[in-house]
Amino acid sequence: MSDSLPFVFEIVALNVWINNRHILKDIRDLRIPRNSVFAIMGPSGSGKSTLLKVLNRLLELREGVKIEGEVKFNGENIFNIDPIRLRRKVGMVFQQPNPFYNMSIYDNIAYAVKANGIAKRKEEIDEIVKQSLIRANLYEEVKDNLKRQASSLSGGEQQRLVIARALALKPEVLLMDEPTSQIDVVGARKIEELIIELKKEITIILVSHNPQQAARVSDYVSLLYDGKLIEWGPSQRVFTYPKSELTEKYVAGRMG
Amino acid sequence: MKSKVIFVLTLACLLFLFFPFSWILFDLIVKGLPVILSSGINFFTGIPPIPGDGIGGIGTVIEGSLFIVSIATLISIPISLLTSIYIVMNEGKKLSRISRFLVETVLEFPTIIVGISVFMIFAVGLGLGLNGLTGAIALGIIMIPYSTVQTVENLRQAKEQYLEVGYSLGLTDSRVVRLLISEGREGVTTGILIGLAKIFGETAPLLFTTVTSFNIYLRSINSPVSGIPVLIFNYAFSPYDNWHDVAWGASLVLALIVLLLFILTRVTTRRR
Repeated sequence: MSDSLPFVFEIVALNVWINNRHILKDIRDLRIPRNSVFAIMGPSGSGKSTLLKVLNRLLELREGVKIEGEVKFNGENIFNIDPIRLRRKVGMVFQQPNPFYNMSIYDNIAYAVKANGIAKRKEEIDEIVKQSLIRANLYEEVKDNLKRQASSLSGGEQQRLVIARALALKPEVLLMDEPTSQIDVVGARKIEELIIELKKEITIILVSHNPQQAARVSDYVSLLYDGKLIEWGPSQRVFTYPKSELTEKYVAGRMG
Repeated sequence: MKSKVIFVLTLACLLFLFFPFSWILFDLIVKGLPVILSSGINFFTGIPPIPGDGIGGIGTVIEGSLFIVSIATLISIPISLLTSIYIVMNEGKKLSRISRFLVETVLEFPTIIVGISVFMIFAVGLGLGLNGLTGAIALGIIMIPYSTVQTVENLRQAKEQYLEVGYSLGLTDSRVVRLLISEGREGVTTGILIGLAKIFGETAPLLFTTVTSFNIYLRSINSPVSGIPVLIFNYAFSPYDNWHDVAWGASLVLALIVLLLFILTRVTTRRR
């Protein structure tokens, strides 16, 4: 495995069934370039979230899941990587902001840092918490009282706290499953700005059902439809000269 | 017009439900409060009176109840927590479904049968005898399903919300379980409080598992010990007027303890 590969993820071939329903159908040759924002678009039920959860092997926690194929992370087949080790490198942010409501802002970030043994000394942990909040553009808003309960934050702030929580583990990739769909417009814009900033350091794979958002923030984009990969490529090319009629329809808002 | 009729009917039902409850509470206060007031603080610390001689106190049985209930709680917490974790983390598996079914069945089990069984198995069979510990085992067994059902409910909610989050942060299985307990801890507390409220008022199992003695303070685990409901049961059916009064006072104390536990339950579940 090597960081010098141009792609963090490479889906060589992938089929997924959930309770004997074919959810992802023969997805092949999809490569996710390092330090980019890679958007996965598609109407609801097209398999976007399923694809995302294959990448950090979260999908396998569910009953009735069958996965076939090969997916490479830094050149190594993810199904040969210990899922715990994989997930520490591939963070995730969910649709619904889900901070730990029983914990303070500080503890939300420190929890996994301590549990995973990333840092032990208090000064070290303090620094990680601070840096993560800065990277998630939340530090200025909360620095006066990190002991505040996470539940006192607004939806958008909670989502940025969750991003900070994931960043604290220093992941190479951040999977984001429609991170702005439950957030108000202002909060959503801040998160979009954050996504663009973060790609300098990490790779972001963003599930979005909103083509405008994908056009605003992504470098590469793909379209899933009914579990099939319709097309993928540099966003500019896909949005201006879509190869498939389905993509053209979807981008124009005539589908989904 | 129709909605007015429904409103009146609803109100009538509500009053119908409310009436017996408020009547019991009113009766308890009218008959119990003067007894407590006449004896003052001594009612909570003193020894019950001999027939025909004043009020005294119910300190011995308050102590007894607290002792038995505390041990029962210590016995039931780890068991119900582990059971809940098993049920929630293995949902869908056969043993998890069976455990859940068993817990829900035991919940409706007559407590007097638990009392007899504990008497047969622990007091006689294992030779523990009749004492606070045996009583606590009986109450602990009664408490387990109450706290388990509630804990399962809340752990399941925490699982729904945080299982994937926990794993996505690279936590190990045991760390994820700890996270779920931490985030679902109000539910765990509520479960314990509901269980406590239930066993505080239990009489029947104690009749089988403890020596009925109201006049001795606790000296050791083997001391004869009894609880508030047992005193109420015995004194209410005695022929002495002053013992009837003590029973009323004790009933009010018991009602207030249970009421307090339910208020605490409300407080712990109200968050978010």
